Amino acid sequence: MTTTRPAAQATAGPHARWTGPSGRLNTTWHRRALLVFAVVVIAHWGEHLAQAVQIYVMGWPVPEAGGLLGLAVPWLVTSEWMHYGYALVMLIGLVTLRHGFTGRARRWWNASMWTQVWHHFEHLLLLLQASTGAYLAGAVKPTSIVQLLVPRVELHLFYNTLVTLPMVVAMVLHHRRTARDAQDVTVPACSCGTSVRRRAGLVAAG
Amino acid sequence: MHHHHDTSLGWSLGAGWLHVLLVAAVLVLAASALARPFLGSPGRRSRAALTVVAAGAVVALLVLSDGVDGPRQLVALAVLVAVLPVLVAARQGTALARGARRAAPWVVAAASTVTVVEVARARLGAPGPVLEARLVDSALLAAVVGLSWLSLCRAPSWRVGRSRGVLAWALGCAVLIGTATATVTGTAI
Repeated sequence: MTTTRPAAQATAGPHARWTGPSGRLNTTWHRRALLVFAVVVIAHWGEHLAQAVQIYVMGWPVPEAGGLLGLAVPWLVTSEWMHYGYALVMLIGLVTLRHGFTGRARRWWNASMWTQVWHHFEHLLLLLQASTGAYLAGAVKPTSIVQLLVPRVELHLFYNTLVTLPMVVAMVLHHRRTARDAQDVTVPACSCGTSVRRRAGLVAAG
Repeated sequence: MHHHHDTSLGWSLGAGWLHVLLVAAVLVLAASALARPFLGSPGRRSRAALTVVAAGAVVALLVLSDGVDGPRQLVALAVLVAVLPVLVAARQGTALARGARRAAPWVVAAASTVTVVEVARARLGAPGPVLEARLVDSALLAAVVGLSWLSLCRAPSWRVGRSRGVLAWALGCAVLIGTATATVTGTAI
């Protein structure tokens, strides 16, 4: 038995999902899109970890610890536009790719998305302050809302952790669930977990 | 590990445009409050628009002010209370929306009380222009939050509807007076 449902079917029925302009984003291209998104997230984490090593292991002063790319292009670390841009890319990725998730995986992905909505808002506020020269409630530098409660420079690393962890859980659950979804004709086809479905004989080999 | 948020962009748009947006936002809120007794409760779209405008006004006010009357942590609470109506207006029928609607009259009452107290303290002789500016900004902040939550209130009877219309007028006038005072004294607006 082979099951290869067309992408167009993904936009109909109780599990209708947004599939992008190509009609494939959250179906046959979902796995590829998630991989690209994961590479961006991991690269960002790599930069943070390199910066952590520079500060806490190598003992570099904080302003000089620019991670890897930041050493070659220092404005990448100091630019508020850069931070905001990354927060925006993350938000767009989480919003657009969520349609490919179902069940528990979708709930974890949504948790990650809503955390990023707030994180994005915080960066927008920082950008607003940096671009106007007026700082929140008379502060002496751009300040985010939660910084008023937790004045730690690692705050945004904590935010990234809060966004990444549920995202990873969602991806794992999605991968496992896809094998079951493949047997449920009411759930649209998705390219994730293809090898699992192939082993189950639900997808044509090759 | 660290985001260097103490750095600037190397250029600045200046805060002038933010002042203009803030004045425009509070005028929209005041106008809707003053029109409420005649036009009735706002519809779904109007309510969503008003909550967004109020949230934007609160954020702009906090960025432009030198602080609020109280600990800095109040700023986080003010933003939370200003953003919540936006979510409620966007996601009607949820448990959050139902709970927020039940709490709305109490939030409006609290915000109105804070507005009256802060205006009175500013008018009856604040010790120094810095504190006076903070009191005026705090009054304006509370009035804007109150107007945002007022848009979520439903009037179960004619009498309640009338009393909320009067309250809307009072808050709308407070916003206008606060805006005028802030313009003269040179605080956030």
